[in-house]
Order: sequence, then C-alpha cells, then structure tokens
Amino acid sequence: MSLMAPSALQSHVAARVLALIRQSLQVRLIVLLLVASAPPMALTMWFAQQEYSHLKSATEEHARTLAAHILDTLDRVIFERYGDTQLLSQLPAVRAMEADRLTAIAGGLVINYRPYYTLVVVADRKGIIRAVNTIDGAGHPIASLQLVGQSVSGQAWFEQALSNPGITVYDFQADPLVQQVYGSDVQRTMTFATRIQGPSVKGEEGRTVGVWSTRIPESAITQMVQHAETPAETYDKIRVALFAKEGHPIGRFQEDQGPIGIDWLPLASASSTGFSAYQGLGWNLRIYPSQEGNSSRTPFSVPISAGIMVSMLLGLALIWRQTSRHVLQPLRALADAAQQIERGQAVIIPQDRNRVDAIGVLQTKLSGMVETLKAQEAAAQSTSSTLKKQAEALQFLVQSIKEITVESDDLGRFLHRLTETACALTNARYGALALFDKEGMNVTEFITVGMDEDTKVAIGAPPMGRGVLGALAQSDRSLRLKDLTAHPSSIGFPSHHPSMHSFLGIPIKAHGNLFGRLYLTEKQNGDEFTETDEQIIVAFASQAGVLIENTLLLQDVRTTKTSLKASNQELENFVYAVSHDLQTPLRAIHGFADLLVSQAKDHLSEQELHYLVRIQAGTRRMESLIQDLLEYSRIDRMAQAFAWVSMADLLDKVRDDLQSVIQSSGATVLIEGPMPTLWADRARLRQVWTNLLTNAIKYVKPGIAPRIVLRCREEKNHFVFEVQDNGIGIAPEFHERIFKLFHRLHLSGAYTGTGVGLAIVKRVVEFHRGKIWVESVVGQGSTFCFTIPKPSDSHKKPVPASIFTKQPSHEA
Amino acid sequence: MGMSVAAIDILLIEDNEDDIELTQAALSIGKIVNSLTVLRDGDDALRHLLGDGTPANPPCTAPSLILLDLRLPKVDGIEVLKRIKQEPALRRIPVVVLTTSQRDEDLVQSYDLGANSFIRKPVLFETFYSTMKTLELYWVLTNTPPPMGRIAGPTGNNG
Repeated sequence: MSLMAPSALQSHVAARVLALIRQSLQVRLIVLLLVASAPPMALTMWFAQQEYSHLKSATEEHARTLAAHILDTLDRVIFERYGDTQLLSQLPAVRAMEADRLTAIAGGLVINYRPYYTLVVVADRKGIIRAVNTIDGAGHPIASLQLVGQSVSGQAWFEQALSNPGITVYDFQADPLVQQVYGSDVQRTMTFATRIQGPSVKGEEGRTVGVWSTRIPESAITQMVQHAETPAETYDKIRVALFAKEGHPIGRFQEDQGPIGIDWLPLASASSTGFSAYQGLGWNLRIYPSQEGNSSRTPFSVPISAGIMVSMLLGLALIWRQTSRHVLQPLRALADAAQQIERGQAVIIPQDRNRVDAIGVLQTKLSGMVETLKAQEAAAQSTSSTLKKQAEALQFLVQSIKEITVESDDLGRFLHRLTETACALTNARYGALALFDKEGMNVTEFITVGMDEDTKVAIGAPPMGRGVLGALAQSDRSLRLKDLTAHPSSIGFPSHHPSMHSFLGIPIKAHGNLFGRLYLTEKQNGDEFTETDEQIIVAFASQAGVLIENTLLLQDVRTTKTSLKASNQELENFVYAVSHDLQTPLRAIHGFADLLVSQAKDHLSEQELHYLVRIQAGTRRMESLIQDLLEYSRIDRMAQAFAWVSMADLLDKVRDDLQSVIQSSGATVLIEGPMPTLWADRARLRQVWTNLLTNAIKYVKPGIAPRIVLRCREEKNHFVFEVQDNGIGIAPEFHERIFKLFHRLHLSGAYTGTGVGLAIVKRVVEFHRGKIWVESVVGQGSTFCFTIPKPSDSHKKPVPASIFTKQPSHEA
Repeated sequence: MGMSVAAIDILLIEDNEDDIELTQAALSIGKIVNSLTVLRDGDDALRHLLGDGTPANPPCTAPSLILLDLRLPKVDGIEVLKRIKQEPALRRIPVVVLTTSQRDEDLVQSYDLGANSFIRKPVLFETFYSTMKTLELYWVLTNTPPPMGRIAGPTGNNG
C-alpha cells in the first residue's frame, strides 16, 4: 500500500461523510423547516377556510340579490305592461274603441321594450282575429303577417283568457294544438292574454267582446336576464327558470343549448311579491349556477398556493401578512360591499387595477354589476317617464272622446289642445296643426301653439306650397330634422318667421287617408327631437286621427242630413204649390169645354162633340191626379189629429162610402174576427182603408166578383191588418215598387188609377210608425198587410177590458 | 123655380178672369140673383165696401152676399175678410169664402174671422156648377138674409 492510497481513501470517505452530514443537515433543515412551518400553515389553511366559507355565503347572498333584481325587472316589465292592460280593459271609452286602435295603443306600449319583438293579437268574442300588430326589435311593424280573419276559437290560450277575468299567462309551446301544428319548431314563448270588455250597463260588468294577447319570445326573457349582467366568470354560466306557483315551468332559459338536467342545484331562489296582486299570476324565479364552473374555478386556490409558496420562501410572518393584505382584506371588503349592495346602499367597490387573480376578477365583476344596476335604474326611470308621457297622451284622448261633439267649435278647441299636448309631450316650443280638405289640396284649419298674436299676424298664411311644409304636404311620411334651416327645402319660410331649428313633422292619418299634419319645432334647450319623441307622437297622431276622422264624418253626415231634409221639404212644397196652381187653369179648360158642349151642342158635328168629350175626360183624369198628389203631400203637412179610433166603426164608414162601387162590382167585403181600437189619426186611416179596398175591388179579372176579407191579428208591439183579395195578383218583382209614387203596373186603359194611391197608403202607415207590405201570387190574389203600433201606456185606454171592441160581423 | 123671391145682389171678389166667367155662367143672374158685381183686387174691394170714412162716402151695404177669393192682388182675402167683419155696418153681410186654397190654416183662420161659409172651388165644371147652384139656392131661398140698409132697425127696411 502506498502512502498516497490511504489519503485518497480518507478524503473520499471524508467527502462521503461530509456529503452525508450535508445531506443529513439538509434533511434536518427541511424537516426542521417543515416542522416549524406546520402550525402556521395549518393556521393559514384554517383562516383561508373561514374566509372561503364567509365569501361563499357572501356570494350566495349576492346571487340572491341578483335573482331578486332580475325578478324585479321582470316584475316591473309585466307590471307596467299589465298596469296599462288593465287600464285599457277598464276605461269605458277605451273599451269602446275600435280593435285597430286598441292594437295601435298596445303596439305603442310594447315598443318600449325594444330588445324583442312582440305579437299583439286582438280577437273578437267568437275568436276571429280582428287585428294583429307585430313589432320587431327596432319598433317597426312587421307587415307580412296576415292573420286577420283567422279563427283562434278553440285554442287553449284564447279559451283560458275568455274565462279568466284577470290576466292569463300561457306557455305557448306546451299547448298540444301548437305542438301538433308546429312540432318542436315553435319558438318558445309566453303568452299574456286579457279579455276586452264591452261597456258596462247599469253597474253590471260589460260583456266580453274579445281578447288581446301579447307574446314575448324566449330571447326577450333571456335578454332581460342578460341585462342583469350575470357574473359569468365567477359562475361560468347561469341558468334561469320561471315557475308557476304550482311548480309548473312557465319558461326555461339558458345560454347554451344543452338540456336542463336535474343535477343543476338551485343556488338562490326568490318568489315574487308583485305578481300576487294579479289573479292568475304567481311565479318563482330560480337561478342555477353552472356546477363545473364552481369546481374548476375555486377562487381561493391561487392565493392559497401562493401563500404556501411565500411562507416557504419568506417566512411565516410574511405569509400571514401577505395573505391578510392581498387576499383576506380584499375579500372582506368585497363581502362588505356585497352586503351593502344587498341593502341597496351606494357603494364604491375597492379595486386593484393590476390585479389579475380571481379576487381581481371578483372586484371587476362586482364593480361592473354596480354600474349595470345604476344604468338599469336610469333606464327604468327613462322608461317610466316615457310610459308616463304615453299615459298622459292616452288620458288626453280618452278625455277628448268624452268631450268632443260634432260642433265645429269643439273640433277647433280639440285640435288646439291636441297640438298643445303634443308640444308638452315632446317639450317643443312651437306646435302647429294643419287639416287638409278631402282632396288634400287646401288647408281647412291651421292651428298654432306657442306664438303670440303679433307673431301669428306677421307670419300670415301658412306656407303650404313651398319649402319643407310644402314638400311634406305632398307625402305622408314623418320628418325629423336636427336643424330645419339646414334642410334644402327650408326656403319655404318667410323671412319674418320665428327661427326654428329642431323639427318634427308627423302625418295625421286614419284608415290610410291623410287628412292633416302635426308640426313641432324648437325642442327645449336646443335639443333635437329623439326617436322616442317621434314614436310617441306617431302613436298619438294615429289615435287622434281616428278621432278627428270620426268627428269630420259625423259633421258630414249631419250636414247632409239637414240639407236632405231641407231639399225634401222644398220638393214637397213645390209639389204642393204646382198641384194647387194647376187647378185653376184646369177648371177653366173643363168649365169652358162643358159650356161649349151644353150651349153649342146643336151646332157641332159628331166628331167635334167627340173631341170635346175627350178634352173633358182628360181634364177629369188630371183632376184626380192633382187631388191625389195634393193628398199625398198633405199627409205630413196636415195637423195631427190622433184620437181613439175604433177600427170596426171606421170600416163600417168606409164600406158605406164605397157602397156604390161595391154594389156595381158585385164585391163581397167580409170582416173576419174582431177589430181593435187604436190611438191613430182617423181621417188618414180612412184614406188607407179606402185606397186598399178600392184597389182590391178594382184589380180583378173581368167577369169575376171581387171577394175581400179584412182581418186583424195582435202581435207583441203592434196590430197587423190584412186586406186579402181574389184579384189578379202582383209578380214578386213589383212587391216593393208598387208603393212608389206613380208606379203603375198596367197600361192606363186596362185599369184606371193615378199611381198615387198606394204611395199615400204607405205614407200614412209610416206616419203612424207602421209598416206595409204585400204578399201575392200572380193569378191567385194579393194580401196587403200593414201594422199600426199598439197604444202606449201614456194613452189611457177607453176600453180597458179588451182592446177588441166588436165581435165578428159578416158581409157588407 | 116658379116661386117669386126677393132677388139678391152678390159681390164677387175674384181676380181670375176664367173663374169670374165660369161663376157668371153658373149663377142664374137675372133670375135668382139680381145682380153680380165683380171686384178684381182686395184694395178695390175694401175701398168699395168701406168708403173713405166720410159721410159723403159711407160703407156700402148693398150686397146681400159676398163671394170672396183668398188669393188676391194688393190686399189678400184674409185681410179683406177681417176688415169686413170689423166694420159694424158690414159685418152682418154673409161672406162665403170661395177658394182654391187647400191649406188648413186658411180654413181655420177664415172661420175664426167670422166667415159664414168656406167652399173649395171644385175643378170639374159639373161639380163647380152644382156647387154654385146649391150656394145660390141656400143663400137666396133657404137662408133668411140680414136686413138691408144701414144699422138695421125695425123700421129701417127699404124693401
């Protein structure tokens, strides 16, 4: 062995020992370190666990707040909507409005909830769709829907709404009929429907006249939920379900398309308080957090790992300090903030800008939620103010419907107030309203608001043919301008016109006819008119348009009626005067012809005498015609002489009058059954019987003896008198025409007559508020029937026991 | 008529020439009727009947019967009737309204003013003729006329 060998071995051994010692020391240090760090680590873990529990409960609290907020949003939407719906179904004047106007109003209301389209259906009591209004997300009507006239009777939502006095909420997709027709393709919607009530009578509830229904598609609810800014990164996904109180799902909504499984655990639930105010409405909203979202992103893993690393590297104190400062304190602050939010207090979320961990995300999200809440509150306020304005507009119209009459003064006042209301709704300084004539060429009314008298005088006549107003007058579209003077057609304004910048021109239309225009200018504070302003005024103008149209039509009808009455009166006066004045010359013709016959008979030839006889016959016919015409025009002119008239007595008298005609024709006149006593004009009724009997005797086939039966039967409100003959009869096409003046069925030679007799009869019967008609078969005779109303209670009956005064009497 | 009667004088107030002539033809002038005076407007008739209010021109009481049309030029028949019936010296003279008017107001007003009879002129001559004959017989033969002359007294008759 050499000397070197032991030393090398030694050094090797030493190195090994040293290594061992070093290793041992390292292990011990590690062990020591581990042992030393165990209690603080456990402590750290314990505190972290506490904080985790605390945070978990705080975030659950927040989720509950959020759920309540979403529910509130839904609640408010429904409340506002159905608040108005109830208004619509309760105001009598509104109830009486046409279905299309109702739809227009409903349409006007729903455009406030712009993110979704809405289908408004108005169906009558029988289930026929009277009107449909569909509005897309941008508030534009969808014209392609042609549902009007279709039947919805038998559909469950309709039947439910009819039987339900309140608001019916209906899951459209769950309807078996809908499924049968559309399969699974139908868009998931909720249907809200309510009855339209007719006007109530004497305190009783009005008859149901129809149903209107509004559908909100799933996407709308989803968007409403999204508006609440769900903390997507914390909970990854949130799912919302809307349940009826009985647990029946009304609608289920989720962001992804996966099925809703039973493993979804409800994190928070809230039940609505607002709905319970409405019969038939009771909902629960449940919000489901995503389970995998919870497990994969535990917000505490990062800070706890970091804490352990730091405790390993920098020591226990540092670990504690850092954990406390960066994790626990911010978490406590967030939890406090969440509680403050829950209490509805204004809060500023503590935020570390550069922080990117879960706490940073939490801070950002919570802060974002606070902003969203504020924005939603502002939006709700703005919606509420728009609704308030629309309610004002509606209120004004409802009031006007009650007040406005056909007097043109009233129309003028109404138009003035309408313009004022339009100004107030949009904060416009000036307003003007032009009504056009039927051709749309001329202005019949021009009303201004906001200008003093001097300005009005200075402006003079409205500029119609030129400029913006002139251009607008030719079209039926709305025009909204920020600066009127910048418009190329603004030159139409005279130089002394008040300066106007913001401008809103809206057509007033009804049933497609343009008959006026509403102009608003100079919105307050130099603002321009908004799209909402335009929508409000368009809705307002369309409803006002119908009102104006109705008033104008009524005025028209009234004028026409008056002038018709006047010209009718004039015509009758004319007939009377002419007939009367014809008498004098006719008397001369007839008189002198007669004198000629009697005095010059011996000097005239046979032929000359024949001519004179013809002259006399002609004048005789003309005389009876004039008498009949005078009689006809005298019916309404004569003083009324109503009294108790015994028909039996009157008929005896008429038969006496006609005795010679009856005898010469061999006629039989039979009165069958009793005759009543009536409150009537005796002289005029006598004329009726005389003319009817004369006709019955006259119109028979030659060689046949007339057989006439008179009878009376009693009906509820009147007596029906019949004159039945065995004459030649009247073909059906003449059954109405024979009652017209100068209408004769026969050549003058065959049967004599003036063509006035039945016209007189009809007029007398109508003068008594009765009716007349004929039942006849050609060749088998005719039966003329007329009615005379029964005496009213105000006429004390002279014969209280029986209205019939005479037992059947036979033969003439 | 074979019997002897006191013939009467008739005043006809009528503007239509045809009607005047037909009336003349229908009346038995010179037999039953002593004379027929015709006046063609209301103004003339009033002046003739009332005089001028002076003693020289007193109201004329000559006619035993007045036939009065209602539609007259200048002063209408209703006004003439009213003035006749207001005048004490004239109001006993029977006035027969003979008119084409069909108005109920005329009928009522005439009687209210004291007309003694109201006849609608028939258009057909034979009816007109028989109406005039009836009128003549009634007022001349059946009816006792008021005493002639001024304010009638028991001795004031002039035969």
